[in-house]
Amino acid sequence: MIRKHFIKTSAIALGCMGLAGAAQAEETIKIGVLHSLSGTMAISETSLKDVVLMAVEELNAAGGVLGKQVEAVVVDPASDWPLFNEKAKELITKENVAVTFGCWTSVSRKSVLPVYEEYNALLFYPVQYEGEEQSLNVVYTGASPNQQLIPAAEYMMKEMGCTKFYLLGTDYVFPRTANKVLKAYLKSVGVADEDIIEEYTPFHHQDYQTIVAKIKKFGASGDACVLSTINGDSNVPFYKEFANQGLTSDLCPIMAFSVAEDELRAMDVQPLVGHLAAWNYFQSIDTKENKEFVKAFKKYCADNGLPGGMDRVTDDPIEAAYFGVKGWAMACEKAGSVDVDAVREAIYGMEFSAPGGAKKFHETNQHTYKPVLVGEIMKDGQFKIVWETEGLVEPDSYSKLLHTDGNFPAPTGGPKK
Amino acid sequence: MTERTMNEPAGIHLGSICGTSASQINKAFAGALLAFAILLPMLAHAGVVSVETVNMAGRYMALGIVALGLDLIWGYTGILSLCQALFFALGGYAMGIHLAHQGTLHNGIPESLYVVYPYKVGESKGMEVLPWFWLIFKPFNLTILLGILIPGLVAGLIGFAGFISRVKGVYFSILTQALTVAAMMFFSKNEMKLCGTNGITNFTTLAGHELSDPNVKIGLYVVTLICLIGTYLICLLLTKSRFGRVLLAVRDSETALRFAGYKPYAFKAAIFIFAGMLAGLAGMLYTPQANIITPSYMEARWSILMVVWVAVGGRGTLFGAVAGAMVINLLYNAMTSQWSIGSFDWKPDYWPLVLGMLFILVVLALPDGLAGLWRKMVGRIAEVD
Amino acid sequence: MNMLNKLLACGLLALTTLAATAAPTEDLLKDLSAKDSAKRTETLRMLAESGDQRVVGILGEYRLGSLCLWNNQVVLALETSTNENLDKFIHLGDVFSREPLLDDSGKPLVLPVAELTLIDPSRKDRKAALNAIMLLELHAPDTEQRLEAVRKSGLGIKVEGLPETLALLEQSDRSRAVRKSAKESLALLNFRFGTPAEQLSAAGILGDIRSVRARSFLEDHEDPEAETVIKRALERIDSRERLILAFNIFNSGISSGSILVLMALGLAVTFGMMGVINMAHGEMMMIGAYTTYCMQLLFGHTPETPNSIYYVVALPMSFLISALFGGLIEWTVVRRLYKRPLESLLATYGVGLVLIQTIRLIFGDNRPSNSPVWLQGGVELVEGMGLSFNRIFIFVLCAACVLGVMALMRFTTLGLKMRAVIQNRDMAAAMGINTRMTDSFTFMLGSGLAGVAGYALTTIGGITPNMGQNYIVDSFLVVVTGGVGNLAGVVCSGMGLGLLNKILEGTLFGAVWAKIIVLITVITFIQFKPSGLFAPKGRLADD
Repeated sequence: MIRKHFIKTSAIALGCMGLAGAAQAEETIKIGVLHSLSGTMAISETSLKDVVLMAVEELNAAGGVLGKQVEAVVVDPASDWPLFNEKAKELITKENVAVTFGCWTSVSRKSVLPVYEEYNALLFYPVQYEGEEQSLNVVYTGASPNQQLIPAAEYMMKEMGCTKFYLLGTDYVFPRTANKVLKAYLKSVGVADEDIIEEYTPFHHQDYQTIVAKIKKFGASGDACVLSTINGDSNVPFYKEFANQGLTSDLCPIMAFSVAEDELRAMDVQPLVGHLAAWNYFQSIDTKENKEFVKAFKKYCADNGLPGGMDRVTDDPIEAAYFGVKGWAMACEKAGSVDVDAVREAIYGMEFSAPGGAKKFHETNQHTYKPVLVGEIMKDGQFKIVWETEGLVEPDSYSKLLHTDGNFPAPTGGPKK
Repeated sequence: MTERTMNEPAGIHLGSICGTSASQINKAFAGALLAFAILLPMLAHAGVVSVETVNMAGRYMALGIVALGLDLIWGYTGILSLCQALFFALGGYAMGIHLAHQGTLHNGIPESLYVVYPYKVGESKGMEVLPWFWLIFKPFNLTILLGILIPGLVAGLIGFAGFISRVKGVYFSILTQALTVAAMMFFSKNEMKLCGTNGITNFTTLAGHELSDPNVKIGLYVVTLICLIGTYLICLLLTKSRFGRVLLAVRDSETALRFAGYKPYAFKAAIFIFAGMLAGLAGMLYTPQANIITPSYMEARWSILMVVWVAVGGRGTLFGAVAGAMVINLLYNAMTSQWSIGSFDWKPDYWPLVLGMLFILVVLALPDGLAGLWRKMVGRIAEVD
Repeated sequence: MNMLNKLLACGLLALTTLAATAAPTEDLLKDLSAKDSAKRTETLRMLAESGDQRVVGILGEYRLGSLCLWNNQVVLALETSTNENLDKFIHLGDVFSREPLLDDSGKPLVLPVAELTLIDPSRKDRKAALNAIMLLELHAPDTEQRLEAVRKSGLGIKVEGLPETLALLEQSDRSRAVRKSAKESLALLNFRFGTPAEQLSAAGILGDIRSVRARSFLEDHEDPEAETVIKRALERIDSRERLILAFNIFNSGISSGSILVLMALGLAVTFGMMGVINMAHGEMMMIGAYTTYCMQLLFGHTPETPNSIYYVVALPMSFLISALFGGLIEWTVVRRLYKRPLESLLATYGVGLVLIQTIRLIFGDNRPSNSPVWLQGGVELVEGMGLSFNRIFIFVLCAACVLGVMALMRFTTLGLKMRAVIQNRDMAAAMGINTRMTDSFTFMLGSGLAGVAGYALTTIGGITPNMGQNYIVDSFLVVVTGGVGNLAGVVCSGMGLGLLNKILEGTLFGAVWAKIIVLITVITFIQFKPSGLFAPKGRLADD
């Protein structure tokens, strides 16, 4: 008690001189958590912050990393892209974090990327994205397009017998690039131009009447499907409108790439039942490891009084954020230090177990080998897994479908020369 | 009824200087601040403060330039514009495109454009697929010129069209806000070849200097500081001139001014163009220091935040506007981090509560903003002396 | 008890009428778990031919994977539950009656998954099951069900006996819609699978009935002899499609217009009449939506156990709670800023920040809203022209609110006072009107209306703390375009902008361009009519 008090007072005394951080740094390893806790992206990103903190707690309970306790520094970049950049600088230069776990949107990643490359720091990015990027300072634990889009399109054609595709998305870079990749793929397997429609809506679009009417017309022949990259809060009105105009998953299935359990938790699931989503992980994966993970997460949320408590669910980005922390810790042990270059080398080709099953980091491109699963939405907001790839799918950093000449850019960032 | 705003005195009128000793305090304070701003790069050079602190100060100073312009049109002329963010972004995009030309290329076109390019690039390689509005920003000097002229031109269009048809008060605010939102949607579209929502990134050098070099960062700070001081002085001259007094007249009674034979719209448009140019300049200074420019700068909240800076600082005082921009941004930055003093732990997700309350309190209790508070304090100190 | 009697009676009835087929149906069901895929397909075919309407529901469950084999009999998995170790348990039910099965002690039978064999249909089986359901439903007693099945049949495969069934339905079904659809489906089948001669006559029929669904088949058909017939048919279908498009655009324009009006109505009161720029208006809407959510929780409304009455209670509640919040804001903040309306923009922006994050910290980020049963789905006037119930509801609600506010302003003392204070505050005060109270009430009314808008929006979208931000700029634009202080103007501009947006979106441009063009149009409009559609006249028009 006395000791604690002493530490506190001395910390206050030293605080002004900025020595407190240095004194603590010797005992603990600091990691940064860079997820929006306010603003429009808070809806998705708060769960990632929660699971990262849970993973840190687990690491510490198991003795920490390299014998040291891990201390998480949480900041709120407030869904504000310039602030992401400032916060990244703060984490790296002021807090001296060994690694950062963060970002959701591509623009936030693009915004912090120069900082991580300049300081040769390390960022774990847990969300599926449009690809076309490979920085030596980022470890991508989410899916690249060929680990989500292509297998899903293949499934729609072969298993569902769809011949017409309505590519519908929110108007920003991920859907645009995703649809570029999808279109290139669909054409390469012989789908005619007029059987593919591309359509975009603004962010936070709420009124899908006209578009659903178009889909209804497009799908009147009964062999069409929607490949949806609609983002965030626009999903609810879209699915509601879809059901209200009398379309069902039998008549025109929707394959979604941005709807996971955490989003479904917030939706009136009824209109969505029977529609599909493609991810690399579902909460319903029936293994012992996964059940324990789900249980631990629910318990963590309940114990810490987080909104939702025991009703919280896990999903693909949450798993990716979680195994990012665990994978980083494992790489540190393997490398024997938290030095960025050593950790990066340790990561290449490293196999590890994650809640959703064994996975592996890529040998060269900082992405992650993952299985691809297709799930059908059930009325309890969970997915019934109806299809999965055999084994793990190799990630592309740059899409082979877009770079048909095989001319891939060199990776950026890395150690200072 | 909404016109009540225009008639009530806002901010501190010029010339209401509070005695010699007060003005001495003011001078001393300004001198100290200036000295600190000049000393900052040296401190960074000596390793006392981080170079990123200097970089942050540089960015906030760039935002201070926007606040100066907004103060001229709102504080002095009484026009509440919600499209300064648009002018800021226009300047930022000009510089962004220029920097992208110097940055990493793929297939002959800038990397960030390549990723979102709406057509197949493979066939026609290189520069010929670059649209004209990318090519004009290749030369550095032309970029600087255009980065100020384009916002000025757009401001001129909005200003003349709006002021001649006597769009006033709230109407003008909402009109400019709508315009900014429309522009944001326009810039966000991939087929506009402005890099969509991801914005323009992958910068490496500016005029041959590595952007990641600490000396270049300090250099950019110095340039921003010089620009801030320069524009501050120009604004000061402007407000003290005959022109400045006409602006006050526009704010206080436009009708009376019109009857006196003036054409208020010309004055309004002129100052609006000037403020637009200042915002453009600020955008150009901000972008290389932030390493990215995205359409999110044109979101509604940025426009409103800019007004908040001026309001908190004290509208109608140039110093207050700059101070407001700096103070609010510093607070915002501090409150979105996690820290603890003693047993008090600050949680970053509480920032909107405190900042929101602060906005309310300032508007209610300090109608003249921080500058007004400062004036009162100094006045009191001077009295005691 | 009563229930049980009914069930028994039903069971007896089923037994007597289906005595001949009942036993085979149960046996057939067992074959659904066969390993051999050909046998399963055959089983599904035979089930389809059995004509046993009870099979429809069972096949539906089969498709969802809810059937399982237990003690060599097919049972239904009513629901699944998990224990604290996340192990799954299944509650068993009878396939026919859907009643829970009981164990020896009379308790519902709940078994761990491992003790059952789940009947998991393959993708092919599910399609076959769908087909079987469709064929069975062709004989369903319920007209809606039959109509749906008839429609689907034209797009499926041509099964033996299907054309005959359809021909029979076309001749003798009691519902006109079914007869029409049967004709269309029969023609579609003939066109897709028939001989050239059959195709020619089918194409003629499809053209005559303007079958929209036939378009893609007609377009793909290459036969020089049928060219003129197909061309004529396509022209007729085109004209029908244009009609449908026009209807749909008009429909969505009106409904998106009524949302705009509903949102802007509250603003027309606080901003238009009082001159307060309330940036927290969107947050008042959000509070209305969250109130609706709380009511839903309070009444325990979930999709499984609907309790739609909550939605009726939520209407006054969302108005009241939002009005209370509005009153609080007026009392603490806005009241002090009547002389500085532009600054109310800043203070209320602060209020908005606080409200958003407070709600986020309390409720978490995104909450599900389940519409009441009677607002789900819609009614189809003609095929392709549908009206959804929630849109009709919003239109009615919007009209009621507009009329209500107009009546309040015109016919009540409070309305008279409001108008007086708005026109000339000092004079009104001199006449003995309590201007403070009137201001409070006016502001509360505006906020309450925003709450009602939020309440209505829960049937369209989700509930998030940031939801108000999406609408605030649009709402201000509607009020400004309509002319400040004019309710009729708000209605006209809201409807006009809604229609314009949907016309652009539905015809030439995508949603994003439509939005940009609407914004530009409004900006240009304000240039030429700076005071909006209905400019205030006389004293109010002056500076």
